[in-house]
Amino acid sequence: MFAAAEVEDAGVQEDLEITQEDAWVVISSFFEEKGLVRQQLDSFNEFVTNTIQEIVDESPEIIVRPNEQHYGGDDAAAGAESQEKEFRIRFGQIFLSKPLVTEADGETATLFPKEARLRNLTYSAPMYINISSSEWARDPDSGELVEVDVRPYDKVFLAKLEGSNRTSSGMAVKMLGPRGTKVGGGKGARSVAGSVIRVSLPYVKADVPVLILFRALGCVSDREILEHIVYDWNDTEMMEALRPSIEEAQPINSQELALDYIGKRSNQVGVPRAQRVQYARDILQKELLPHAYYIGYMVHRLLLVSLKRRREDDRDHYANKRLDLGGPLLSGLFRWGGGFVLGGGSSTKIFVNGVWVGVHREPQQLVSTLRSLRRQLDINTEVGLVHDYALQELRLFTDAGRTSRPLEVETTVNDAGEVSSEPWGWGSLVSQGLVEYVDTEEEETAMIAMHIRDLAASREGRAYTTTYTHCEVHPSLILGVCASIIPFPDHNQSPRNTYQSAMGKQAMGMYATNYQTRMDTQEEEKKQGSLVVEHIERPDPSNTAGLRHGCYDKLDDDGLAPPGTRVSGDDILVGKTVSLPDDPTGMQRFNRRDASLALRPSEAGVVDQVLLSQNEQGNAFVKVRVRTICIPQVGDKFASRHGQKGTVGITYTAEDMPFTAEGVVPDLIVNPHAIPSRMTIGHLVEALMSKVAALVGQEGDATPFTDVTVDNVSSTLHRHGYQQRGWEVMYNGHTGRMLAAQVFLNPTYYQRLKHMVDFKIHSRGRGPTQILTRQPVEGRARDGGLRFGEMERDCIISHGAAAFLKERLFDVSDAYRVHVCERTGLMGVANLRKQSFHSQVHKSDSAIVQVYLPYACKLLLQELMSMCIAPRMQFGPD
Amino acid sequence: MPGEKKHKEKKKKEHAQQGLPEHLEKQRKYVICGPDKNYYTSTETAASEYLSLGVDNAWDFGAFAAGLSIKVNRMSEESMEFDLIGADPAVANALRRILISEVPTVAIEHVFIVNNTSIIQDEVLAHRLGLVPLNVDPALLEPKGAEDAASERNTVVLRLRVACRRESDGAVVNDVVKSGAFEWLHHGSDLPEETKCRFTDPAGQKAAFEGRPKPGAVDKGILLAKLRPGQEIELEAHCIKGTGREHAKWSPVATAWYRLCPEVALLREVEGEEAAELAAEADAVFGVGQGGKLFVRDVRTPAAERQLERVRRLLEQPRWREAIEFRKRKDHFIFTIESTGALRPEVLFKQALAILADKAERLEKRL
Repeated sequence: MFAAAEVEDAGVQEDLEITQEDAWVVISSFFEEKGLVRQQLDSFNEFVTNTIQEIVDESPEIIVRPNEQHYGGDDAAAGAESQEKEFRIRFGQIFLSKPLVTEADGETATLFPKEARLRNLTYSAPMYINISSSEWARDPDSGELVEVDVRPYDKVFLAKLEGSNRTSSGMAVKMLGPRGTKVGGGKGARSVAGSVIRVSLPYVKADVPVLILFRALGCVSDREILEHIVYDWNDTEMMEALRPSIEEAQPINSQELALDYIGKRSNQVGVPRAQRVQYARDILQKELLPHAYYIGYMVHRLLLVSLKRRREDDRDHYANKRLDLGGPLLSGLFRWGGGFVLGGGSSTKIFVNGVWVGVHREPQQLVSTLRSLRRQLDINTEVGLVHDYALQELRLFTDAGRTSRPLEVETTVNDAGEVSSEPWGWGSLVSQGLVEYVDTEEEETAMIAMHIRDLAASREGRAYTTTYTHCEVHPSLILGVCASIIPFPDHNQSPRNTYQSAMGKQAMGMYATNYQTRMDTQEEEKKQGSLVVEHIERPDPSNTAGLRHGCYDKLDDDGLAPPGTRVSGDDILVGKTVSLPDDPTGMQRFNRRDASLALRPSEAGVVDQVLLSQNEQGNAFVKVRVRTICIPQVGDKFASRHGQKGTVGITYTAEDMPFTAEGVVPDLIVNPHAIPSRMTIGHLVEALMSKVAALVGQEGDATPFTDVTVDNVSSTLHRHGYQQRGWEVMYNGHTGRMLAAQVFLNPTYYQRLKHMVDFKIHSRGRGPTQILTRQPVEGRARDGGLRFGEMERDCIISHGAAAFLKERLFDVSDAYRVHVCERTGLMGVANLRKQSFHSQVHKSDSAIVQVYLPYACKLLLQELMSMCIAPRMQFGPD
Repeated sequence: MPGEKKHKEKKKKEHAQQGLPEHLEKQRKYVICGPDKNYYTSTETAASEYLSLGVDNAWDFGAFAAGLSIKVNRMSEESMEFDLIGADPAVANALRRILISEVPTVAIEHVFIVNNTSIIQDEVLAHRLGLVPLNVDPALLEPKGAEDAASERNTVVLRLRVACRRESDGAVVNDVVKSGAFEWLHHGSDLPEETKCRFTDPAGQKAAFEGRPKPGAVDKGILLAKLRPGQEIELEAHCIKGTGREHAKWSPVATAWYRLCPEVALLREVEGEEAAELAAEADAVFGVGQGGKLFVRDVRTPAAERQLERVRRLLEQPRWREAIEFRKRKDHFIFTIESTGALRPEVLFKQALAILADKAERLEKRL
């Protein structure tokens, strides 16, 4: 928008009018300078450069006093040593090195994130700190401690600092909550009139009338207290609202009494009065964070709400949210000193980060000064500046995690023509005060124009307001990364944009510029913690035990499948063996055990890349990347960018597909029933715009909230000799006849989603079972069974298909057979080969019954037995 | 009611003499285009279609032969357009389908990669190679079944051997591999052990390809791969005969398709202001003649074809619907063949006709 080229080109000042399209220059300059994750990096850098040092500086000296030693009768030595002595340790400057890796051979090298990712190393940097220690001893003359020895600045390795690699990945949003003291009306804040205002204090069981709290804090007289609460003496309504509270606190008319009142209501029961008072005083000093003025202000705000002069605060407002980024930002840069003067109703209260620090009589001047300082970068640009006229408050915010966004300053549009013609970057836009950061709280006091044309209209008096303070850079900037992908999102039903924003993450493609060198895992990597050292080699069947049933032929001599090898399920990718303990007899055939890594049973592909490296312990470390070609087939999932996903229903050869009068054959046919209920009009507009773009040979603009209309696109299409709504006459590929209906046939961007049938197809006849219950295992990866669950059970019961139910739940699951003593009802011992059956209780072989039951049932019976409960089976005459 | 029956029979005879009533005749001959759909797109499927009207709809070879004509509009090495008049869509579509999927060509089927250090993966490269149109006449080769051994009768062997390097002056040689880099191995594979392709004739295929262009890509400028210095590709590509039904790489056409011949007709005389309005809307379709009378120009010109959608849009208004008609002849196909370059389009069309005739013959034998 302030492109230097344009300023030069124009020459004539009148031509310098800024349009919405110019916003793209601003947007580009922002992303050029900031990228998408600048806030994370800034946060981390702030932590590393300032916060760590601040934490160290704030921590007190460590004082070490040696214990008195016992010297066993040597009084002279004891006397010398018993001299009081202490050591003080101070921490100084912190140093952070570049991330390093120490290899197993002791060599140290700088580490970059790429290598750390590939080799599964920790991306960490060593941190050092200056430590000075000094010895202090009691001076025999003065009796004071004096410094006797100083050993300054031993540089000590402190810790390893993990990189932004991990820290930045998490971003939590939290709400600011009330801290400690709460003020509330007797029957809730809504109806204070006619009821008393009480305060809840930490460590005090009952709520305390607010006037008693004031008296405990030293404001004894009613007048003094009212000065804290009601700023305007003519405000009789508010005075009246306070009357019940004043009357309630009437008997407690001194500070001493008030403190005692509070002390009685804490857990100091049955202790002397003086102690109670002291306890209450301690609570007020240590636990009650706000001072009397602030408590008065809280009551004032409460009364405003109860008198219906203000609405309740919105708890879910974004001004009350903070982002937890890598490191806290900007704390303590703003300190406000001095006591303050309480004026009448005309002075404005100043708050910094929610703390009332003073008042000011000329708020307008103060605000404009602060604002211009901020626009000149004399104050940090990210400081929030809120002037609340209604409450007569000026609130400043410097705390970390507030969300803020850049807005064009209203005067920008005037200034743009006059500024220098040097190339503009984002930084200069901010430093010139043309663009400023506005946080969620300050936003509430700004009047923001949506478009530049609104601003122009307001100047000419054509808009409904003339008080704009800011202008959006572009309304589409409300969207984040995922939603910015969607073409014409302003034409879609909103949930569809939400769906697409989630679905875009499943799309396949080359999502990173280092795609070729990455070794990603599709599924979560299993943590393979093995204590034994594995050797990577081709296992020799003559001396290796426990070989897998997969194919070992694809391994090279080094025990690795070379790139280009075609591999399929169960093939060995990495040959690994473990040494067996030495066999002293020499009789054992095997001295190694196989620990090879095989491809998952259901997968197939070609070995793409093999990474052979060492881990931190110096052990060999292998990653194998396998590539697979997945030609779209029935069941594969695809989606447009409008939350319109679906699976392939059928594939046709080219000659079977319908074709147009121009010989065009579609790649994909979508069922039109997908459109009306989902109302993704943006889908259709994208398609139409794409057709025009393809015909004209230019890019189309699918940005939301622009002047592009469907009618514009349609008429362009019509001018090129096409049906204006993108319809085509088509011919049936099977019969060759013209189709009666015209077909909406247009280019549309489609995403291949990562869910493909080949990675899901699964069936099982027999297979592995769980060791404990002998029921089939779960999951495709383990060749597991398909769960016949409760609802399926209900269904079969309602059909009355008892035999089928028994088959599913018993025969094909964990069928088992036990032999039970008829007399005790307990399981006995059976030897089927010898056909001998034996009851262990009766020591007899007679009256044994064979019972079929699920193994899980047998397991339950035995587990009950282990708890001293004997479940007995009874057998009836049948 | 014998009387009534007689009356009907009489009526039938009347029709038989006069043919179909006018509106039915129109529906039979034309697809009528509306603003949002096409009417009467179906074609006759039975001889008894108009039996109730006393009209025999049986197919008559004589009438078909007399009515059939082919007029070539344009023809070049790679593409042709012709009018196929007097045929049923079944015939036109059969030819289209045969052209796409049943006329044989030769394409690379087996790729034996000796070395590939380039960035493009083996299977992706092999797939790209398969799609390159080759200038080998499929008539010179026999089809190779899955069990057949590769020999000079069914396989053409091409070699691709490119290494990229940096010259002393800094110039990079062979950084792009194009389809012209194929070499024809007329004596057969260099790696008979690995490829199991053995030519028995010591003279190889030289004699068979005498007087024809050396086997290779039709277009020498197709980009196959990009290399950086130090990378190389060495492979042998074995080409066999196949059809588009098995894989699109054997399809001899980029595409082949037809459309129905458009016509614009006046349903009544249009003159004066109405005529001027229409002529202004679509000047390449309508003209105003002497006396302000509207006439329809030749709609097969490119300018007029581009305005046909405007004519269709006029039909949104009822006043034009009763004045003009936009329609398509059901038995007049404007057929286009775009060859991949392996064979000339007219050769492809003749082969497609031969295949269709062969199919018909086989069907007849089995009936």
